[in-house]
Amino acid sequence: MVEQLDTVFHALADPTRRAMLRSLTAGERNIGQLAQPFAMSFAAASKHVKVLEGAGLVRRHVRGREHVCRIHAKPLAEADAWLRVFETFWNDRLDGLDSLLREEDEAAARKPKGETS
Amino acid sequence: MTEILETLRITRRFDAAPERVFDAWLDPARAGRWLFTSPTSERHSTDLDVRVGGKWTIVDRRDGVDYTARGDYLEVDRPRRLVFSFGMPQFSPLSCRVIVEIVEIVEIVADGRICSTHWPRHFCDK
Repeated sequence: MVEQLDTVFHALADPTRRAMLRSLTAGERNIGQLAQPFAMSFAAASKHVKVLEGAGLVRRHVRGREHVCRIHAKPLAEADAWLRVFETFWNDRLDGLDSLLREEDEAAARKPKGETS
Repeated sequence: MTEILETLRITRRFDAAPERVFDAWLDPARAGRWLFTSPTSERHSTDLDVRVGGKWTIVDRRDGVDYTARGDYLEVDRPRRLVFSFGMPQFSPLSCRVIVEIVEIVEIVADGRICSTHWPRHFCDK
């Protein structure tokens, strides 16, 4: 699970691959269509698709001479779920920091004037 | 080269001077009250070697189990920026990078003076 998330985040770490995924949310695309907005070679686009495939984010079907790609969103949902756990974790920590600062303020306010800590 | 993927960004506003917020991450007595601990923890140790390349270890005991969080300090730029790695080896061999950026919020009040939110009013720029 952790290793798979690693490959998912690695795949998502590249802006070209993120744009390709975004384009796939609109429907199936072949490699040429995925490459087109980036003025990149078929081979370069194919390499990016391979990374997305490896992370389970894209499925590729061969249709005649064409490679047709389709998005597979499940790993994205898993990555998102993992992030939500971390978000809760850090929000809880920062609530603690907020409490600390408030307690310090209250302690300072209780202290008689002129007294130094 | 792969860019660093920012996977999670959390923004919080604190009504305190940047130095006070920054130091709360690094002063063991203060960090020990909130960082990687909870009100229900039974025992807590905070060992922070605050310098670039220094290591930090926090052990928190809850329900009789010790939970260890640890990492390295990568950037220490008081009071603006703190970067450290953070991992919990008993759960995962991976570690992530935490970037703390503290930005002072300046507000322009109605009469045109510029105030920092955490300065007392009489320190406002005239």
